[in-house]
Amino acid sequence: MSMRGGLSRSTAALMALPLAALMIAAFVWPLVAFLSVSLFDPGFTLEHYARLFATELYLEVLGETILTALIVTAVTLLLGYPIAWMMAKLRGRWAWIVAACVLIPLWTPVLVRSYAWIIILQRRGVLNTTLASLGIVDQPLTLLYTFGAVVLAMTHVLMPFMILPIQSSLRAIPEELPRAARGLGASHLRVFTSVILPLSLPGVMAGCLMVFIIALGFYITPALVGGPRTLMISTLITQQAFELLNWPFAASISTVLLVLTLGIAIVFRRLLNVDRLSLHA
Amino acid sequence: MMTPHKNQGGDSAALSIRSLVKRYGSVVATDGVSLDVSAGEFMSLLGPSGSGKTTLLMLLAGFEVADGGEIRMRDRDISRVPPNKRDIGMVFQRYALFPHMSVAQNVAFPLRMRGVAKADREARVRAALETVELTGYLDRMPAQLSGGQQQRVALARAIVFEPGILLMDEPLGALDRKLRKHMQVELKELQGRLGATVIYVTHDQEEALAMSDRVAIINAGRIEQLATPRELYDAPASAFVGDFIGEINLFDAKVEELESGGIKLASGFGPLTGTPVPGATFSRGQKVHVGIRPERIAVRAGAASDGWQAGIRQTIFNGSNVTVYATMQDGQELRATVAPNDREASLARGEAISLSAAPRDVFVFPAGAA
Ligand SMILES: Nc1ncnc2c1ncn2[C@@H]1O[C@H](COP(=O)(O)OP(=O)(O)OP(=O)(O)O)[C@@H](O)[C@H]1O
Ligand SMILES: [Mg+2]
Repeated sequence: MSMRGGLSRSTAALMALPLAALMIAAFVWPLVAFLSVSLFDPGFTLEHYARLFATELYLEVLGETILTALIVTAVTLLLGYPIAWMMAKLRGRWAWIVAACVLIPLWTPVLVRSYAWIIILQRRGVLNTTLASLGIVDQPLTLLYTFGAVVLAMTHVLMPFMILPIQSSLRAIPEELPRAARGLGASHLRVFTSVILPLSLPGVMAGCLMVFIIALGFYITPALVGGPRTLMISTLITQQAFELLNWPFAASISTVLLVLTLGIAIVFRRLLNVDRLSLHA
Repeated sequence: MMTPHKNQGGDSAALSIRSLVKRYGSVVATDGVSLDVSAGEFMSLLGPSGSGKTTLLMLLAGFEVADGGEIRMRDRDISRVPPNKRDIGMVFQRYALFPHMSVAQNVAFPLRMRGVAKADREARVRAALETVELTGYLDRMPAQLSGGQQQRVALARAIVFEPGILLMDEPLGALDRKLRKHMQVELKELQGRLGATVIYVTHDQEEALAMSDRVAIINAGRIEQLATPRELYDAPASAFVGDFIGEINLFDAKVEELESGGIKLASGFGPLTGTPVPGATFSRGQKVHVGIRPERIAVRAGAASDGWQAGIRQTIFNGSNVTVYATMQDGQELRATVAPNDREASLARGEAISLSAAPRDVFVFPAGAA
């Protein structure tokens, strides 16, 4: 990034100062304080980490959480890409309608959206009554409190985070590129696979990373829609912190989650070298 | 290497267009265009902004579908053939290189799409890059190239699969003037070497005149005139063409008398004799447009009895010639060019002169058609 507006470096730094101070006071400091709880009890100890890694249940939950996040990421990508593509293509009124459909859920609280899924999926919910009245099922299906319900609701909540970055990288592709590809002999499919898809990869990467990381720490939706049997790592942290009041242990699980998230973010960037793919390399 | 470009069918048309029409809502962007392009010909489409040049090219390439008419390539109707099956190479104004592919991958793209085997592909990519003098740039990314180099890559990519026709939409438009001149010469040379059939869109008349075998002057979706650069200049078919190509003095006059040697006209500054443009018919008393090129107007100092009396308004030195701005008797202004060493070039403001022009240099156009 070059400085455009003629601001000197020091002026810019000065302007960033209030926000930086706020971030340190309200975010970094509590985080460090909280994480240090996991290591000092009261003297330095690795006891909590030892317990975490020695208990099969906790490792299973961790594995389950990662798997859920992966599946949710894959599903949002598969469903979100075509929607992003549509948003990038459409002009005029339909563009607004689709954009509204994507954005309005984003402005609706997660709690509301999760409850909406409960209303739809429960035993006497909208879906079951509809299926029954159509004569498709005799017995109400168990939909709520299943792994499928968790994936479905999380996908719904996280969809905009996938769609928006993909949409913006699709929009950045100059119109004449797919046109040139077509003129040079590419079928529609090959225009997509050799031009559009590769050029939208930065958006795909950004979307996947964002959805995956948010999904790793998801709490409300799995807790509500997944019921007590679905344990995500964040549920575990809440349990330890607020029910069992074992703050050091809760802090150690949080630390593992944070390190995992950071690690994945770094690996993602390294492996896929997002900058190389961008249009203005 | 690139032999299929060569003129194969004698003088058969590489491309013929019949009554092509394209509308965008109420705008008729292509208004009944008919055109034949011979194999190996370099044809330019020249016209003002919004006249429909790009639209015509898009119709030929298949990116737009015509509302009427027919496009034939080597006697095959391609009007409904999708763009990827048309055997047409295209160079875009902003090159449209794929930013995520190297130079070699860009040039190999059309071959890959056609299923050309890898070994053959590499050889042809090399040959094409050699043709545009870009060997050694195989692994560069487009962003690492200058404008001129990008343009050459785009060109190599368009010729590598040896298409029947090359379309270019202002391919030099994004280059600075000096590089543009250089590339004009190179492009023309390359086209000659390959024997390629080229349709070239530009709104730079100098460029069109310098490069083309024939130029189609497009105005409001129609071809005003299709002719060699020389003919366009020496015998413009309409006041529009006369005005668009080179410099011209345009003014109104009235037909006095029709004679075999020319039309006798009355203008605001005196009588004159002109030559009607082919295909137009005139009658006595009709209002017409008259066009005379500045360099075809003879200027003499003093008030001679056989010319149009005028006064010097200004003389402007252009290097190779001097433009004389003359105020005629009715107050209108005519421009004439004289050699810098002529006595008339150094006349002062207000001095009396007389102007004249030979009948064959006085173009008479129907009025209202401009
Ligand atoms: N996709 C489109 N939708 C609506 N109108 C269009 C479209 N493309 C072109 N037109 C109209 O058709 C006419 C011809 O446009 P075209 O782009 O062919 O002009 P041009 O000769 O290439 O001009 P320029 O020299 O500015 O590139 C213009 O009036 C333009 O506004
Ligand atoms: Mg154009």
